[in-house]
Amino acid sequence: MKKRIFSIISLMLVVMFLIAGCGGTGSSSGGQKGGEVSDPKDLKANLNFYYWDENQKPGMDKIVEAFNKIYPNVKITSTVIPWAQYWTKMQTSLPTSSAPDIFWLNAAHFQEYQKAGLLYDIQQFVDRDKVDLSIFPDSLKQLYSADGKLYSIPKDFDTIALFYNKELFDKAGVKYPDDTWTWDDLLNAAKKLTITDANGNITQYGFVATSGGQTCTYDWILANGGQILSEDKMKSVINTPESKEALQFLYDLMYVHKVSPTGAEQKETDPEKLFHSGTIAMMPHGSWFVPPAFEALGDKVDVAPLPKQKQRGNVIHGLGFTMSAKTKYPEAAWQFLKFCATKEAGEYQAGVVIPASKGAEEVWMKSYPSMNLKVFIDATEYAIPIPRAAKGASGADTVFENEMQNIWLQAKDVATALADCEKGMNDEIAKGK
Amino acid sequence: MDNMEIVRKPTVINKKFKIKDSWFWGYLFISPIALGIAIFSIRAIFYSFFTSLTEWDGLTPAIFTGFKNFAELFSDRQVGREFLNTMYYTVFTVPISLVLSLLLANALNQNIPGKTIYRVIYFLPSVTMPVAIAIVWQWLFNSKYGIVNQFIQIFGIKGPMWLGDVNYIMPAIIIVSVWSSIGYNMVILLAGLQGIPSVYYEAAEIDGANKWIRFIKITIPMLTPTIFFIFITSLINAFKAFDIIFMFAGANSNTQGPLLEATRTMVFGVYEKGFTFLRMGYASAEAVLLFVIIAVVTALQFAFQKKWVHYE
Repeated sequence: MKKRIFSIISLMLVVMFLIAGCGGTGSSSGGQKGGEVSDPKDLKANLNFYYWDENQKPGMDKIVEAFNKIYPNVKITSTVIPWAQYWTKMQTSLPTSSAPDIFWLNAAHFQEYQKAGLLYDIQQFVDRDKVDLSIFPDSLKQLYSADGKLYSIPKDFDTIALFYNKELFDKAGVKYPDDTWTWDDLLNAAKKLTITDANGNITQYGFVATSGGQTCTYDWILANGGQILSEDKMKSVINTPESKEALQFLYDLMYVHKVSPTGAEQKETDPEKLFHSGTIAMMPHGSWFVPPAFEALGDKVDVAPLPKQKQRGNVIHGLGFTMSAKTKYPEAAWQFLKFCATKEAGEYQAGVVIPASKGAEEVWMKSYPSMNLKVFIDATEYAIPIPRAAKGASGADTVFENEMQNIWLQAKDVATALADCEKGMNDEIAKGK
Repeated sequence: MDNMEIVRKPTVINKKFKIKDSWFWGYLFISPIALGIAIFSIRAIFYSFFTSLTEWDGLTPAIFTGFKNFAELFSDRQVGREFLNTMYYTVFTVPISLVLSLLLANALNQNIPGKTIYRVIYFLPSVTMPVAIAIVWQWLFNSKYGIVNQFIQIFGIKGPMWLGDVNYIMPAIIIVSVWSSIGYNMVILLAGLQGIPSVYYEAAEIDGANKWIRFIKITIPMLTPTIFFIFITSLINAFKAFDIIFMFAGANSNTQGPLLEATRTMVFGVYEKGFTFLRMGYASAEAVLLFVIIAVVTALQFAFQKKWVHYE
């Protein structure tokens, strides 16, 4: 018995080593010189392409397929790396020769990677090939520009809206949310939609107040006239009465009115799962949440604009197709990025995300006809780009996240957490390079 | 004389050949793992010693800063908290796991029907991915739908919110860690138990010792070398606790906050400093500190082993 178990273990170790050995860098053979290629067939390269969203694999495969019709000799190996490991993987591979040639980038990591010289400056190619980038909104191009140079082709964008479960509204006889809603309307509806059983256990929540900046807290602060960062993004200005009022409102939904799962309950069970299972009636979330919500709830789910208070608050963010500075095939990688900048490439992704190219969003809206997706497009009119400090951004984000959790888990009251948040964020910005 | 010459010659050649033979094949057989350790562990260990003396973000070239990282390390309150969390985890996980696996190994060493099945069942957690274990336990610990609190409910006690309460998340992690480490310890202890000659038991039985006395007076002392081995390895493993903690407190969309504060171990701190905050030098310094702590604790164990470990 003992011997057998040891032999099984050692066998497994051997297999693990073999798998680890095979999982290394994809082979890259042959070299390639810069400069334009006259015949697309002459362009030969092996490109590695990393991204994180399995839901978008069909769209990415279609882009690669269409690209290969023009450039049959550019082989593109796509790898989906789960979100949880994506940035760790990037961190370890980008500075080395095993860096992917093309990859998805988000605004949260742009600054650090650009400053470290890991991103290929594509402005030179854009100028050379006179690519028309006016099909992309300026706010998205700004996210990936530094010193007047562009580093990414905008891929898609996302804004935030209020997701709601029509079935639960019908049962409770509550009117669906619309664009006239204020915070009071939200609270009143949430109270009617919260159900408590005979033992005093809450079996259904009207709303969920999440601590996430992009999907909830930023939007609430903005709607109340508050700001997260100063105009030049060099200072945190979050500690204001407006922010305090906004966060206190969200806190009260959890702990005073008890119409939202508490911070601890949200830690235990992912609010998304509670929404999918029909335990939560309303949830603020981003446009990327449309496919999973539709998959779980079908035509029972719809979206409305986030309720307004003093004004409307919303943040816009988008991903970018990016080239590694280490790529051995800059020309081929650029040609792929150039292809990604077409409306055609945008339309291939429209089943899942809102393509960044103007006009292609129509296709996205049509892919879920039962939902009022125009809400997300309308939000671009008043949404601000996701707040990112000009330096020390990841440290500042961590401080923000930490203090929000302190409020959500009742470790600090709102006023103390906000004061600590502003101070902590400013310390990180000051420390940042 | 002639005869002896003939006899002696081949033995010498044979002897030489044998030595060469065994050395050669021995090294050949250990070379894959030795090479692996040399490249992936030893080189990395020395590299992290070097990195700990630098300021390095992993992206741009490192800047040599001497012992600055260590100075910061000893004034960093978060590192102090990480050390306390690590100790909290270790002090509970190691003894509980050891005692339970000893009892289990002893029970499964008896001739009970289906003991092989039981051994396999108890060993299964050791060959299961920690991430899978954590996901399943997350459901078991759920305060509303989880089986753990439903079980506690039988006794009329309202179970805590295990994974959402700063006071209960560490005990939850300890429970899972103990559960998943018992199987491995049990197999080692079983091997130790089977190595105890039955003559001792027979002699004790004749002298009138009951089962309990036999366990205390024979089994335990004879097992001390095995227990010593398990003690050292599980202590080192406990100091390196990461995966369950990462899954319970660190892998959610909202990773920061008081819950992580209550569970962040030193290895988690190393990971976070290195890969989230891009401070490879500082992270390496903490890794070196952990290395020193483990080395000292292990050295102390070896020093004290004469007092309680009995070798035959």
